[in-house]
Amino acid sequence: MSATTQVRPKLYESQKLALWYFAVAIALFGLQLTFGLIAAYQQLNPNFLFELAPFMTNRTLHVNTLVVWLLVGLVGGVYWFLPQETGREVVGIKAAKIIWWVIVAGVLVLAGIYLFVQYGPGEMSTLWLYMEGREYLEAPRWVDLALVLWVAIFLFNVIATTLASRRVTGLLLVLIFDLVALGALYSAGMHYNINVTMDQFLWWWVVHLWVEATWEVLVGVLMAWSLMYLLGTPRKVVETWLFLEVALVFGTGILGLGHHYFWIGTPEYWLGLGGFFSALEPLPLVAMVVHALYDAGGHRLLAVNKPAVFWLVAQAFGNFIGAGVWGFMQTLPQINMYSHGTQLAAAHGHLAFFGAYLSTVLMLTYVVVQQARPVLSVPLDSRWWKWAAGLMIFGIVGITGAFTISGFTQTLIERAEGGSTWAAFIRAYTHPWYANTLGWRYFFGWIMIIGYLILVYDLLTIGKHAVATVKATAVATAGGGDD
Amino acid sequence: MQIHWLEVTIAAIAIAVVLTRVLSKGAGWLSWRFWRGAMIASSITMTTILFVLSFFTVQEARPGSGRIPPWTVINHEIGLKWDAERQWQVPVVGEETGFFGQVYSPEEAEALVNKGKITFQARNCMECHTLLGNGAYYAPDLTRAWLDPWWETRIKPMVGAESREEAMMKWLMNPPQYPQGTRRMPNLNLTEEEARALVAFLKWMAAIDTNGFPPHYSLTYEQR
Amino acid sequence: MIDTAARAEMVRTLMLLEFVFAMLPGFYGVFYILGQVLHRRWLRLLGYGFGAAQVGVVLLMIRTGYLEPFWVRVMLVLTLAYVAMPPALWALAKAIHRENTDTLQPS
Ligand code: HEM
Ligand code: HEM
Ligand SMILES: [Fe+2]
Repeated sequence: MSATTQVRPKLYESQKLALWYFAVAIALFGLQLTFGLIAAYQQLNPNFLFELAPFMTNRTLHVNTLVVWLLVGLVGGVYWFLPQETGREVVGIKAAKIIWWVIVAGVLVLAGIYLFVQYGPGEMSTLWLYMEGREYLEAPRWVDLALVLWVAIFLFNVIATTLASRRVTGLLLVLIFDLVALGALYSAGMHYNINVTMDQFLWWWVVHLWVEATWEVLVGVLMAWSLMYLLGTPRKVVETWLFLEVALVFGTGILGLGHHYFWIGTPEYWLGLGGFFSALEPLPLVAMVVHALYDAGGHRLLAVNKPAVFWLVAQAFGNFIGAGVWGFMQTLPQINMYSHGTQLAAAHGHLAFFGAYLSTVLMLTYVVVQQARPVLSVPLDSRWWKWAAGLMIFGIVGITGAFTISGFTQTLIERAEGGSTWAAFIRAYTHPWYANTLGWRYFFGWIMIIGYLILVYDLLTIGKHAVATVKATAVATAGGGDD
Repeated sequence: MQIHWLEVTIAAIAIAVVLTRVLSKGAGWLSWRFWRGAMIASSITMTTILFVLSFFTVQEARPGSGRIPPWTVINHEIGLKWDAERQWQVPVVGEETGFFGQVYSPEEAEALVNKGKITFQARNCMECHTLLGNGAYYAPDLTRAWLDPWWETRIKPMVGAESREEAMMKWLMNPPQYPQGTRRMPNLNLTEEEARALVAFLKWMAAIDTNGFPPHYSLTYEQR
Repeated sequence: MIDTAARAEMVRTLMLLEFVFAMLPGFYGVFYILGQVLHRRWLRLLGYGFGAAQVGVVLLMIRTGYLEPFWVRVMLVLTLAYVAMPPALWALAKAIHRENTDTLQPS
């Protein structure tokens, strides 16, 4: 292998902070998988931990750690690239460090509450202290406030650094507006509403407008930086294409929100609006594939960082297949009426989060890991990253396949034939086509975990030989000098 | 106000295109400036339309507005009937029969449903169940739970209850004692007050007009 | 109200067809773009094959008669968009690269 070594340029303080972000993100990823595995096992054996930690507890931890580690990874990516983009240290880095450790402590306390307190009395104080009880947004109000503070300081960092650098690039412009929207949307999820229709109406402003609009644009920005810094695509091309992606993502995704307003008590015009605009949501994802492949292919994948380029391309495809294809599959109202709220949604949720966001964060992690050591290894490569990637992708494909089959079964048995009652629900989950997939899902969960363990080993060791080589060379030269 | 989706769709696209032309005046369509204009135009247009539509949606999503029942619906008999024109079931509200043997005033009913909604969140029900189809997929959908025939045919004799609301309350207060299927619901230590409020919340939700979801729900008005 | 068996049949048919309908433009886009990137004609042709299959599936879906006339038209518009998109976006990417390379950086 023609690997060479370079001495690493000095890291900015915000890049050192980003290292912590990624370390914590990868650790939380491990927790996420563990709780997912327990939840999957509880479907096979409903008595497992029934008294101590029932299904809802493990699932809460599974989806909450998911959202938190992905968000941490994406924000970490911004802290990593921001000084490169602006050519200066991030303004307000002290505050960023303090709030970071506050957030880490808060997340640990919250995990403890979820695990050991689990729920509270039916009073407002419970929503403030322990449990808000809305899927993905279970975190009690005090955590919401801490998160808002975190995002506010992060926004300040980005805006102040941009202003201080006196150069508002197109990328920074998009980033700033996107972060403002992302933060503002979160506040839509911080209200108690007695009317369950209005409750879910606003809940989707956070959930859908995060993953299908603002997160997607944030990823677009991070991908644009990566294309520039990994593959050397010219800035003007990257920015022009990013604008096109944002035009399409917001042009389809904002009114695509309507695909969640078919059945929650909202008026009928959402059936057409949601169906039409969300059916076009895969278009920007096609644009992302075109761009990533155009530039990765143009350079024949001869990059400085092989695992990062791999995950960059995997992200483009994964985003398109997981979000685009699996989402499209159930987005037209005629189908959604029957498949809504079945395991089919979970099939899509797994593949979409994996393809769009997990791949992005792993790509960023490898970018960062290359620079985490004092001596760079170029190109960054190892045997193990391929195993980690292969096993994790195999795992998620298996899990998604299992959920897809059980989703079809549930849709047909419970919804189309059974009339959606309690008895029909039981008939669906005891049907062999549903019951058998539970075992496969559990099996593929273990595959994922093995992939994860290899990933952690790889992240700890990849590029280390470069340091050793340099040391050996140094010793040899020193020895030679003695003679 | 009557809103037609096709008009909104065409208007949205037209406005975005025109606005792009205005913002990117003089820029070639492959240029950086053109697409920056397109991005700004599409973001502003779609956000504005979403806000306007949300304003109208909120009007229609008020309790008592037609689609969402008033709180006092818990005092009434509730059922579903087939709407031949819309091709799905719609909720129908029948005569006043009381709830737990009592007729609730509007304020009392709201307070009770409110307590039920808070309890629903505090006990994290949504991480096993779906309601209005959203949530987790470990346990049955609760949108029309009040109308489930299972309460009458199976749970009522099992827990020894006189009425449906009493059957639901008793079952909810200790589900592991009366397991249904292989998956069991944990005992969430509900007080009697909380369980009663939860039943009220579920009954109120069962009367929301959901455009027919869940499809062809078992208990139709005619069948009873 | 149609009876239960007929309803189950409808959901099964529509869901399977729509599943395939969602997959095919996916394969089309992926193979078409791979063909372009790797300069392999057969990959691109394979892509076109999937594109054509997508049109076939839409026609099948319409022939089942389960879609109301209005939704038939919506499906046709969507199909058109998905058939045109991969080559259109590829051409656009090429043009934008050509236009914006080796010129001055913006501000
Ligand atoms: C990266 C982007 C995306 C992510 C991470 C994502 C994730 C999810 C998740 C987790 C759910 C389940 C929500 C719940 O728990 O109730 C969901 C639902 C849904 N998604 Fe996506 N999604 C993405 C993009 C898309 C796209 C592009 C489409 C459409 C083409 C789509 C269509 C849908 C639909 C129709 C549902 C509702 C399913 C139901 O009725 O139960 N999604 N999505
Ligand atoms: C060890 C691997 C994993 C296993 C065994 C697993 C298992 C599960 C189970 C059993 C559920 C609950 C489904 C239900 O409510 O019936 C779930 C939900 C979910 N998981 Fe996983 N999971 C794993 C990995 C992942 C990964 C890697 C991601 C994302 C990248 C993910 C994202 C989600 C999401 C978004 C949901 C909520 C889905 C929805 O509400 O529609 N999981 N998972
Ligand atoms: Fe969505």
